[in-house]
This record gives sequence, C-alpha cells and structure tokens, in this order.
Amino acid sequence: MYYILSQILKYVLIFLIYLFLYRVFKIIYMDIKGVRRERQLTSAKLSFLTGERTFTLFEVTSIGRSDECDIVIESPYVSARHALIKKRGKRFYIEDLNSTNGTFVNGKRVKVARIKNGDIITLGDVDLKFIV
Amino acid sequence: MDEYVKTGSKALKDVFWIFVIAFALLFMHRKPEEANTIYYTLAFPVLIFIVYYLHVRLFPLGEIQFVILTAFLTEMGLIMIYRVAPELLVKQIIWIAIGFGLYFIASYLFKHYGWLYNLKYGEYIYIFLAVGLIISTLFFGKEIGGAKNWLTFDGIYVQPAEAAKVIYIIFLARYLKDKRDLKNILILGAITIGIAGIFALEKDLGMAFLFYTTTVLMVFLVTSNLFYVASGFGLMAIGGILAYFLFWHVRVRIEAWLNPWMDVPGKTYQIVQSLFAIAAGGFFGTGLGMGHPEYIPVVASDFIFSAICEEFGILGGIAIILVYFVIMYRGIKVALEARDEFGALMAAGLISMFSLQVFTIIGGVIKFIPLTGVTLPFVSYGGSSMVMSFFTLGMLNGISVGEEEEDVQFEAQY
Repeated sequence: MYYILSQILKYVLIFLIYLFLYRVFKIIYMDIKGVRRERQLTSAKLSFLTGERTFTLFEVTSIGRSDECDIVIESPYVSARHALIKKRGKRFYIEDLNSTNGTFVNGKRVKVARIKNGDIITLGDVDLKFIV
Repeated sequence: MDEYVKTGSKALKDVFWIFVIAFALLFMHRKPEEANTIYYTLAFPVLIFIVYYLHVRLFPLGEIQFVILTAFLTEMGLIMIYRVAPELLVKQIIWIAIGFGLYFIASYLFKHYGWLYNLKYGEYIYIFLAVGLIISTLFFGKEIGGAKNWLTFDGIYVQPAEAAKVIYIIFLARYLKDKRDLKNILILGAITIGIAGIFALEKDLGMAFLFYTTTVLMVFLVTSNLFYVASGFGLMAIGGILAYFLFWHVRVRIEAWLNPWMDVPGKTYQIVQSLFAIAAGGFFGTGLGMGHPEYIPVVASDFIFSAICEEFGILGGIAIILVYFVIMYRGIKVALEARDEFGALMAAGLISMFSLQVFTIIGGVIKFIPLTGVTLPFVSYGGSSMVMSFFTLGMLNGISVGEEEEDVQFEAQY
C-alpha cells in the first residue's frame, strides 16, 4: 500500500518541484524584462511653452544638449546632460544631473523632485510644460 | 510589480504543497516517536510564512526571492534529514529559525555598510579576526569526521571557519578596494597561501580550496588581469601536487577520485556509496522511503545531495542545482547594482564563496572533483553552516536594500 502511494506521489512531487522552478524563473524573466522597459514609451509628454515641439517621455528619459540624450535641446544654457525624468510606479520624478544652470520646477531649483501634470520645468533658459 | 508578487506567493504555495505531501508520506513511512517532532514540523511552514510576510513588510524593495528559494532548499533538507536521521529534525528546524533571525539582523546591519569601510585599521582587525578564528581550532579544536575544525562549548559544536568566511570577505573587499598594485597583490597572495596552509594542517581541504579560489576570483574582479589568475591557479596546482606527496589524507582523497573501485569497503566507501545511491535513483527517484540512503556515510550533512538524488531522482537533484543558480544570479545582480565599489566587491565575494561551496560539495559527491567535506548550504544538517549561510544572504539583502533606500531619501531632497 505504502509502496504504491510512494510511487504515485513521487511523480507529483517532481511535478510540484518543477512548477516551483517554473515560477521562480518566471520572476527572473519579468525582472529582466523590467530592465528593458526603460525604453518603453509612456503616456506623459513634455512640450515647449511656446508650443513649437512636443516630446513623448520614456520610462527613463534623459534631457540635454548632447546628441546622446533622448530629448535634445539646443540652447547654450542647457548642459550636455542636464536632467533625467524617471517613472516610478505611477509617479514621475525629475533629477538634476549636476547641470551648470540648474533645473527648476515651477520656479524652484531642485535636485530631485516629483513632477505633476501641468508643472513648468525650466532648464537653463528653456521652459517646458509637463503633461500626463 | 503586482504580478511579480503574485508569482512569488504562488511559488511559496508550491513549496507548501511539497511540504504537505512529503511529510504526510514520511510520517506514514515512519511514525514520529515524539509529539514534539510533529509540532516542530508543523511550525516550519508557519515560520516560512511569517518570514515572508515580515520580509515584504520590512524590505519592500529587498530580495524577496532569497526567502522563497531558501524555503525550498531548507525544506528539501528537512525532508531528507527526517528520512535518514529523524532525531536531528527538531534541531535543524530550530537552526533554521535562528538563521532567519540572523538574516534580518544582517540585513539591518549591512544596510549602511559604510562604517565597515571607514573603520580605522579595519583591514588589520578583519584579517586578525579571521585568522584567529581559523587558527583557534588548531589549538582548541576537536577532530570530527577526519577534520580538526570544530570547537566545543558545553556540548555545542561550532565551526569557526564558517564565521571566518564572512569576515575574510569583508577584509578582501576592504583591502582590494584601495590596494591593487603588484606589491599589494603579492602580500595578499602570501596571506591567502598562509590561510590555506593552516586549513591543510587542520585537514580541512574544502575550506582551503574555498578561501584560495575566492581570493583568486576577487583579485581577477578588481584587476581584470589574467596573469594573476593564471599564476594563482598554477600555484594551486603546484600546492595540490605537493600536498599529494606530503599529506596522507590528500593522497587518499585523490586516489579515491581517480579510481573509486580500488578499495570499496575501506578508503573509497563514501564515494562509492554516493555513486550507487545516485545510480539507484534514476530519473524520477525511488520514491520517498523506498531507497536506502542510510547506507551512505555522513548522509545528513555532506552527502545529502546523493540522498536527494536517490529518492527524488536526478530530476530532483537538477532542481536543487537550478535553485542554487538562481541564488547566484540574484547575488551577482546585487553586486552589479551596489551603490559603491566596496559594496559591489563585498557582494561579489560573498556570492562567489557561496557558489564555490555549492560547486565543491556537489562536484565532490558526484565524483566530478575530488571529494572534500564542506556542507551543502541550507540543505545539509549543521548549525554553523546553516546560520552563516543565512547571514551571507542577509548581508546581500542588506546591500541591495541599502542602495534602494538611498534612492528614496535622495528623492525627498529639495
């Protein structure tokens, strides 16, 4: 009796062990995919106050004068790598990358700050509006 | 994020069902002699769920996978320990509980690991502590199972080398962070060879191998110089050959590895029994309670992997190895994302030591490399090893949590 039970259940146990492994690897898969998501577009936008251009933001977006940035602003007052906008959960944060002329949110100089819909972001001499 | 957490708790549910089925079978196979055994066994899943809940609450950004994976490994260990040595089960569960406690303590201690680096004369303190712990067994130690690496305090047996491992890694990270020119690497090499020599005198070859290889790996990590690595492994080969001719116990191990059939009832008994057990298991194993793992010597600690291979089959064995790979992956990820070089080095060293230990013992029992007696972390019976393995993962968790929290504080600054 015990013999039969043990023989049947050994397959069940192996099945459960591999189900467990499948889930563990699924978590890793999601983990790696999460890193790649940095390049995914979000619904948030950044537009010039003058209305000439509108950019769509990534999960992580870099802003600056250099061509390597995701958003390139050609102004002598903007640093090569000026600021970074990150999405964390549903919130957006702007981070100043030690720029020369600073990053301002609604007129206040910030290092790292949360930004909300309608906030005015000033980089050097450029005013941008943040729209979700 | 939501799906992430959901998959994690589903994985934990699988662990729970494995526990229920396996222990239901085992209690049918051999009735527990004391009611205590049943209570402690039932306490194990409760403990895991409490730890999981606490971890989610205390470290929302921490390495929750460590809890899930260690829950699986410790559970497989418990199943096998009850199978081969039921009297050790209660003790092992208590050690696991202490281990999880230490995991949380280590997480908090190493969240702000900066003080370890800033400590004045830190590297001297660490190396003296580590060497002191290693040497202590040479004078006050007790010989168990062929190696003189145990200290006894009123009947409690501890292996100081397990604690020395962690301290030595901190020393390595601290030392290599600043000093990486040829002269300093040579000094480090001399220290390491000295430590390996002490272990060789204590007949603890596994530990000698672990300390030495980890140092070589760490040196490679900071210098990316293949010459150091080549000379490191070259020296190890020379040392191995010397030890083969000088020490009797090394010769036995290597001869047993090359030809296990030469003296089956005597010198090579352990490895041959381990191979028989793995062969008997086949793909799906003999089924719980149907194999004969009790024929393998020291099966509860060093040879537990063979016992798992026998009763869960090679598929079960592969699952265990895969779980260790996942732990290794998480550890390397912690090292890659650490906020400064000291943290990265410490994490890399810890995870290398951990992975090498797994490699040494699994490789040993399947006769891939000569057998040396180290424990299989989280699975083997043994207090010191269990507690220090948890401490290691706790440190890694602390390093990863620390960097995340730094971010959060950063965001609040205006």
